[in-house]
Parts: sequence; structure tokens; C-alpha cells
Amino acid sequence: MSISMSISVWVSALLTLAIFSFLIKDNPLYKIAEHIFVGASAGYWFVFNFHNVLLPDLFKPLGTEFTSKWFLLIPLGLGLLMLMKMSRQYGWLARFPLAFTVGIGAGEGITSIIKSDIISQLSAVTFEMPLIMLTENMGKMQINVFNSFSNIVYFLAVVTGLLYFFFSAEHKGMVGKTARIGIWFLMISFGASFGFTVMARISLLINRLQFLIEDFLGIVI
Amino acid sequence: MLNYLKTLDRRIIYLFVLVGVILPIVGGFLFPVQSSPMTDSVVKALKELEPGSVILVSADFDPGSQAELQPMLLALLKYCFENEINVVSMGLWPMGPTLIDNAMDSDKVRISKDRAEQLMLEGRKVYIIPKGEAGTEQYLEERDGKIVVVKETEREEVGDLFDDAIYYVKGIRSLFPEGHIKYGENYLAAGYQVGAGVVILDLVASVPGALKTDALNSKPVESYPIMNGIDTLKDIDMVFTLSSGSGGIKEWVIYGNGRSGVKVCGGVTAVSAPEFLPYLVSRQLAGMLAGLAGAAEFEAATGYEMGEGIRGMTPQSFAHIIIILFIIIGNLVFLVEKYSENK
Amino acid sequence: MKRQIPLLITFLSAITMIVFYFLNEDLTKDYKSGIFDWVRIIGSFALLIGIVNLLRVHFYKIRRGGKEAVYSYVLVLSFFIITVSGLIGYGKRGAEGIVGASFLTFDWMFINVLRPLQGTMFSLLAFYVASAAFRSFRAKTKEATFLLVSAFIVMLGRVPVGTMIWDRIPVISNWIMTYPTAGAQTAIMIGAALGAVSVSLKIIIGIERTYLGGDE
Repeated sequence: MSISMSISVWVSALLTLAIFSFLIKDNPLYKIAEHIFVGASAGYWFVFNFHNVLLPDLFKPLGTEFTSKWFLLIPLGLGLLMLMKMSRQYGWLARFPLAFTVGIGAGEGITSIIKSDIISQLSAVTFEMPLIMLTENMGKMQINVFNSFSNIVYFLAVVTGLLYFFFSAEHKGMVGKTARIGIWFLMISFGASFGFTVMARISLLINRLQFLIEDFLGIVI
Repeated sequence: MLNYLKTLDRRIIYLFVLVGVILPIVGGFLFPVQSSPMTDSVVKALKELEPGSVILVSADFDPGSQAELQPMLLALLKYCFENEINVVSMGLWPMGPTLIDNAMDSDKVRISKDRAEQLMLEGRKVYIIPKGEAGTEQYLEERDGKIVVVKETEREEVGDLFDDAIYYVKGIRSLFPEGHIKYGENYLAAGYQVGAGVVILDLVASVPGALKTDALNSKPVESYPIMNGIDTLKDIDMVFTLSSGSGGIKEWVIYGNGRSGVKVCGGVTAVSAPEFLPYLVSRQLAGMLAGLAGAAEFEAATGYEMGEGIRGMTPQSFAHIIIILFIIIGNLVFLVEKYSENK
Repeated sequence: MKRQIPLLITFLSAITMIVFYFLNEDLTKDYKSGIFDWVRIIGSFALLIGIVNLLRVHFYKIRRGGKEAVYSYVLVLSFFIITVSGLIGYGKRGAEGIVGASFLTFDWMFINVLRPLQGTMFSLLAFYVASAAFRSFRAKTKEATFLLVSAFIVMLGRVPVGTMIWDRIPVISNWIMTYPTAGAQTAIMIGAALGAVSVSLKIIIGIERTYLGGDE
């Protein structure tokens, strides 16, 4: 073992250990690290927005090309109106920029989502996963039983899952039974999602522990 | 016993998880990694690219997801430069381009002893961590046919490279001979692009118009040879996005593939992978790597030995077993309790 | 008027984007680009509100004093150090795009302060997941059993140890991902998209007004 002599590694390691100390119990070290994180993140986002949005897209054009970019006074005005949200008396003025951004988002969202999340998906269910799959075997076309079964499972998962979310009809009788099957498929999907979530969290833990063990403590195998 | 398990202090569970992850890291054993259909689809899509193709690598993640996505990025960059695929890098998240810069020039890339020797002969800077001496940075030099380990101001002559040391270089660039990666010819850094979906829509219309200038020299991107023949997003051979949340793979699929038909592959964190499976089925995504396991499979498939992904699979396996065992124990406690109540 | 004009603005801006979708891309791309620049600029000012609010809360805590004030000092100090450093030294790079990393520079703080803090915060979740799974993951019903079995198979199938236990586990895991999971996720995606379209329509025609806030 040979502890690192780099100040950067020490700072990173101490902050990492301070956060991990929360696992034992809440303590001042953790609170300090947490507050550094919040403060530094806020500062980081402020700097990024200033250098990547406000400066190049607003202040520089207005400052250097005012005659051709004078219309940028409109988003500047809308932005300043947005700041009125902090005032109780004039907070209603923030509705104008909000209405603009919400309207743009709604209009753009409708057109994109319909194509990518509805039409393309329905097209995939219909054309990419045929219920009867044929494969060539010695010059003859034969039904591929396993792939056909799998595609039927996929189709059932989509249809029964969608039916489960259809609350305009009461989930009774045939509808109820089909919705029940939909819940089973959803549960299988949530189980898989849980498995992936566990994987993701453990991966992050591995990364931090590798840093502490190899870079900080210098234990290298 | 039953009562003890029912009221088990959560810190005992934490300790088991901690030990389960630390032991394999310290023990250094590696489990062999096999590919999966999801990873195979990515490798297949990459193999279809010919030398001279242009791939747009978009780092749409931040340090919080680096553990899972940085290994994918390293393996991807190595594969591209090995197979003469030209790389234009950008990011839809502010810290993304910095993470690509780190991958190119400062992240530790472990190599074997033979590769270390080869790279030294090519004049590349190779670092060494002799066993028990990880504290200070040390690198190798060749002087008059002899290998010298340089530690701060000390220089120690060694006969041969050690078998039990760790060798690494800093960044993917160091894996290749000097001049193999030429800025502007086979690599271009376009930097952080603000606006996510908007940027992609701009790229669909005009790649030079959207990217404007490069991050290094602030010159118009179209002035670089790598951008010859690249006008719209359709002219890009593949978009590879490494994505950890909104403003990433979904936008590339919706706007990039949806509006221009460009081939999109993605690397995502494991937690968001199930959400994008429908895009794989509908072929809006040509392939997807999911989490650290996806990174490990990709490293194994592309010959990136000693990658972070492969090294992470052993502690990952141990941790999964521990969590599964705890869930089983919890359910057994529940069943025993239920049985006793019924009695 | 305090509500009518914003509703009209929402309607007009949404209709503009919908009409643009159906027009030739060459005609609309410059206007679209400009509109989205405006949205980003307004978003930056919205971020300012959050930051000002954060600082306001903590300045109040500092003025009030007490045991907790020291943490507020730490927060405010971290904010100003990184902001001043970033405003002065943002984007300075060395030759060939190598990121500079001198002590207390903006990049140094990103690499050695933000990166480890963010990574460690998220990695705490690994412990919480294990603890929560032990305490509450119970196969009480058929549905919960489906969930558990699927979780076990996927967790084992995605790591090498699954192959060591039984070489069919990764095959079954991949099948579960490709067919039932992908199918259910497609159903969720279509359902969520239909919901999003419905909410967007309600916003556009003015039925949904909660984003405007307030009573006036």
C-alpha cells in the first residue's frame, strides 16, 4: 500500500469518504460535503449558461451587431420578465415568457412524439415482429416455431399492456382478464428494470471504490 | 434468529455489499465476459463502416454516469482510430466534451507488459505502477537501450519490464503512434452544443451550420478536411451517442434518425436501458450498449483488453449475488413468519 | 388580460411550431433555430431564479446564525469560488485540446470536486437498493413473483457469474429483455406518448392552465 501524494487525489478522496460517512450516520462531514456539492453545482451551471448561452447568443450579438440583431431585445425582455417570478407583486409578468416556452414545447412535442413514439412503435409491432416467422430449410420455407412464439409474446405484451392503461372501460370480464395478463407482462418488465437499476448503482459504487483503493490508497494488484 | 433477521441493522447489509465489492477489486480476479445480442448489434453496425467513414460521437452525460459510459467511450474511440474511422466529437451536455477530452488525453488506459514495451519503442510515454508503489506517478524511459523508471526527480534503471507491475498510458491518443490521430483530418472536437433537440434539428439541416466552429481553434468546422463532403446529418455515416438522461439518445432517435434517417447507435446507463428497448425493436436504434455490462461486452468484442468494464464485472457479479441472497433471505423470513401465523 | 394574453401566446407559438413541421425544412430552419435560441435564453434566466433563490435562503441562514449557519457559509463560498474561477478562466485549453488542471481552476474543480461528489452521491444508492430490496421485496402475490423471478434472471444474466451457474441463464435473460420487456415498454411508451399528446393539446387550446400559476 502506498498512499497518493497528489493534492488532487487527496481532495477527491476526502470528499468521497465524507459522502460515504453518511452510511454510518448523518454527520457534519457529510453535511459539509453535501453543501459543497450544491454550491459548486449551482456555480458550475451558472458559468456554463453564461458562457454557452447568454454571452454568445445574447450579449455578444447585441453588443457587436445591434443593427442586425436588435430583435434579440425580445428574448432579453422575456428573460427579464421571467425574473419577475421572484416578486410577489409582479410575479404574474413571468407568465408571458412561460407561455412562450410552454407553447413552443407543446407544439414541437406533439409532432415529434406522434412520429417516434406512436407511429414508429405501432409500425414495429406490425411489421418488424411478424406473428408467423418463416425460415428457409433445405430450399423449403418452414414456420420457425420459437421465433413465432416469441413474436406472439411480444405482440401480447404490447396489446395487453396497452389495454391495462385503458381506464375508460371497466376492467371486468374479458377486458379484466386481458388487463390482468397485461399486468403480468408489466411486472416482468419492472423486474428487468429493477435488475438494470441494481446494475447501474453497483457500477457507480465500483468506480468510486476503485478510485479509493487504487488511486488513493495505492493498493494495486 | 427470525427476530434478528427481521430487525437487521441496515449497516450490516451495507457492510456485506461493501465487502462483496472490495474483495474482488483487491483480489484482482477477472471473470470471462461474453457478448449479448444488444452489444452484437452495435459491433455489427460499426463493422459495416468502411475506413474513411465519419462517425459523430456525442457525449451526452455528466460525471455522475461516467462509471458506466466512460469505458464505452474509451473502447469506441480506440476501435474507431484502429479501423480508420474518422471521429467528430461533440456533446449535448455541458461536461460531455470535457469527458471526451479526458478519454483522448488523460484517462488511464491499462495495457499489457508487451504492449507497454511496443509503445515505448514507438516513443510513446508509458506509465508504470510497480507493485506496492502506487503513490507517485512513475513513467518509463529508454536510455541507451536500457529501460529507466522515472519517479519525480529519481531515475532507476531496471533490466526488463516487471511482470507484476501495472502499465498504462494517458488517453487513447497515446495508444497510437505519434501523428496517427491528426486533428482536423481524422479527429475533430466540436465541443458543447447548447439545445439538445434543437441542435440535432440544426444538424439535420446543416452540420457545419449547427457546429459552427471547433472547440480547439475556434475555426469554422468546414475548413477542416474531415468535414469534406459533410453537408447535412445524412452525410454522417453514424451517430454514436453516450447518454445518461434527457437531452441524449431519445432526441437523437426522434430528431436525428426520425428526420434524416441517419444510423444511430447508443450507449446508455443500465437504469435507462429498458426504456429504449422499443427503439431497438423498431430499428430506430441500430444498436445499444447497456451499462457497465454493455461496456464490458463491447470491450471484449473489440479487443480492448484490461478495460474498466471487464475489470468491473467481477465485483458486479459478487454484488448481484449478495443482493439476490438478501432478497431470498428476506422472503424466507416472510414465509416462515406467515407459516407460524397460520399455525 | 393577465391570463388571456399568455394563453393566446401559448396558442400562437404552438401552432407556429406545428405549421413549421409541415413546411419545407429549408424555409423554416433559420426561424426554428432562432426560436429555440430564444427558448434557451429564457431558460438561462429561469436558472438564474433558482440560483438567486438558493443564495437568498442561505444568506438568510447565515444572518440568522446558529449551528447550521456554517454549512450555508460553505455553500455560498463554494458557489462564489467556482463562479469567479469559471467566469475568468472558462474554456482555456492547452495544445491539442488537453484540459488544463492547475489547482483551483475551473477545470480542476470539475475534475476533483464535482466529479467525485456527484459520483459518490449516486453510488450511495447501491447500498440503499440492497437494503430496500431486503426489507420490502416480497413475493406476496403472483405479480410480485413474476417481478422477482424476472429481476433475478436479468441480474444473473447480465454478469459473468450467471453463465457460470448455468449457461442458459444469459439466453433466458436476453429473451426476457427482447420480448416481454420490450413489449411492455412499448406499451408504456405508446401510452405515455398518447398522454403527452393529450396534455399538449389541452395546453394549446387553453384547457390546461396550471403552468400559469396564481389566481389572477
